[in-house]
Amino acid sequence: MDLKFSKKHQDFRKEARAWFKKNKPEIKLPSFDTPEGFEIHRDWERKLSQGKWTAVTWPKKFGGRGADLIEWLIFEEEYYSSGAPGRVNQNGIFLLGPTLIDYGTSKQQDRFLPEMINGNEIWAQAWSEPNSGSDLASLACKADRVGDKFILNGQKTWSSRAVYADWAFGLFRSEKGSHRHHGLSFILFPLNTPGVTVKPISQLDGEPGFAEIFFDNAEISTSNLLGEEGQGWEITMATAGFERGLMLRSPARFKATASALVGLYLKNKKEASSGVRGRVVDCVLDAEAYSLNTYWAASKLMNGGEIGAESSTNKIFWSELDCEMYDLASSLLGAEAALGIADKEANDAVEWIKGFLFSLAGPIYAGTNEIQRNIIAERILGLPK
Amino acid sequence: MDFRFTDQQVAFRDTVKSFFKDMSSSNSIRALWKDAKGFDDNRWKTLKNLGVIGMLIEEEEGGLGLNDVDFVLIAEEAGYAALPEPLIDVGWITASLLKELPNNYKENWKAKLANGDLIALTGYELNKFLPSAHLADIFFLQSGDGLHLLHQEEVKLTKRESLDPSLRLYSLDWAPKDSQRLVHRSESADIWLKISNIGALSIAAQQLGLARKVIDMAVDYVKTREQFGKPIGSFQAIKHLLADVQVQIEFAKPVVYRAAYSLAHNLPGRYRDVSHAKLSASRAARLAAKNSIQAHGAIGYTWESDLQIYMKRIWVLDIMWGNHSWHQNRLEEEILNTRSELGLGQTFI
Repeated sequence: MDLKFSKKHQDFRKEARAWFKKNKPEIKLPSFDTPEGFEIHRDWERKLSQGKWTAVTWPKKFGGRGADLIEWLIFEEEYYSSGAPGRVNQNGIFLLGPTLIDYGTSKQQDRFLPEMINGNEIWAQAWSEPNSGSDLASLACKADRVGDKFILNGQKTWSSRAVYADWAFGLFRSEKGSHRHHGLSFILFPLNTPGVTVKPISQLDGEPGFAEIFFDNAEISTSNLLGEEGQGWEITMATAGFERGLMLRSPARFKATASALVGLYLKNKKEASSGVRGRVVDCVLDAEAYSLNTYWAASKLMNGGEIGAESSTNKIFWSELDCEMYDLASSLLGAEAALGIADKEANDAVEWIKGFLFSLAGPIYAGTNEIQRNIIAERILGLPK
Repeated sequence: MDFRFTDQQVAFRDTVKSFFKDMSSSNSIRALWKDAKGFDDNRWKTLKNLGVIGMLIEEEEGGLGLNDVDFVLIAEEAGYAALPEPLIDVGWITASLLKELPNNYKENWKAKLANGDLIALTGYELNKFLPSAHLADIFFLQSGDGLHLLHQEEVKLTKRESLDPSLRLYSLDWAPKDSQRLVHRSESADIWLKISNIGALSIAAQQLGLARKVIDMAVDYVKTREQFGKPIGSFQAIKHLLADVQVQIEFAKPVVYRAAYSLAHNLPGRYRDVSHAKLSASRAARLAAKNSIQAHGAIGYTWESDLQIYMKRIWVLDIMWGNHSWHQNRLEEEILNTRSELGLGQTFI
């Protein structure tokens, strides 16, 4: 066991810190779930790509830095401590990108990865359907192959970023009469394809962070099929593995919230009970535990180990910690906790309120925590189905 | 940066683990409840032969020259086995204390301890009761900040009824004399601070193992116990009870291992890390006990069920070397008052 950063890792941290200090936007950007905010965040992605900071873990030949997982964690720590904006293209950079690198043809990689990394194409995901949420394998959206085209029909929902994004990736039933996870294909499609209609859904905070997507005989070239026909489930699970695992929910995000929570507590501690005080400390400790657990997992992965159902324990831990932190923040905010996010004078409180509302989505998306508990019980503890 | 244990550490752990599996069955533990000493000489001898008792003692003194990171894995397995013998108290806590003493005493306690011939225990004011005190040849005891050496006959022991029948508890009555003092107040304060933190870490490591044990027992039970025509382990209500514990265990592990590393390397945040470890592991273990007895149903509430062996160990260890409030208060002070940096980029320094 060696819990010191190497010279290489320390240098990497220094480089990242210096770059973010110089380049992060001076002012807080408007939400990326507004038309104006979306484009400003796209510009930020472009800026990141100029510094080669968009996708540090991707191989160098695809525009990344070939960073190892420890560097990834360091990058995230520096990213969050600098207060840089949210990542509008996270569906692309953290979910689809690694999947394309693993499953895409070199032609597909050349076509999609550069546009993704330079912010020209922002991605949405299209997995869930009205009747297929936790039970994703029951999905019904069709992709019928006719010559060198797929004809898409059906409906997707809860597609995050789909309102303003350029492209989406999703899972479709390409084999007629197939059941469950058989006969599914992973297909990429432009959201402006004729026959594709995007209908925004307002989230709990009032912003259209996700959407329904309707397909009415939309024609998509078969060159946009990722992997083989029928391989869609396997590829989706690999993608979902990234989503639940290290990439999307790095510990830095939660440590940043925990530090801010301590600040909020210290500002308002006269009105806080000792119970609140104890809970604030527990949050700081749990954020630290999440960080330690991630470094632990990274060490395992970097040395040939694998992460399987452990990503389910991760997902439960961070999402519940997030809920607890914002719940506490609400009780520390005082009267301002009653304000909506559009309030012009609430300033700092708006971030907490927005975060509070969003924290409630954590235990739901990417497989509800109830599903994760089933996975832990069945795959780690070995309980019967 | 590499958070893994070495292959050697894992291999040594596995050897000790399989020894515990063979030689500390629940029957053998129950048998000791009626035994006058509550101590299995064979088991102690095997532990000595494996080198476990003296593993922290320097090689030239007959030990293995290992450190806290090595011991954390062993203590986890001792917890899993609910070992009745005072391996942790002697081999980790007292051995660490001996290493802190100036090297000018006539008696070579280190060699004797490593050889399994000396049961030396450490008494600290935070612990009102001392486990296994009836077995001790000598005691290292705290008075104020001073460090005293007393022989068995110089201490009056009063046996208390222990919640855990395998862990006999005593209160100690003694009056410090100058002749028994090994280290003076001022110099002993640092020693006691270090030893009390090793004590807390040793509890955390055992709690990890115990939490795993009671969950393994619950899993075995719910896989075979049938109601409504199927194993109760197929019901989500049961699955989720046990999954919640698994989450706590997985997130307590790296916290405990990091604390061991911090102590072994004298890192500035070591005492904060130890308190975090104690809180995390105890939280996991207490939840494990609660949810395991729930999954067992009424049988878990009987004297007959072996579950009590492990649950009671969890509850008794929980108050040793600083209970929940003690460590929580220490961390509140550190995090909210002195603003110890647990922030971004500060996980490892």
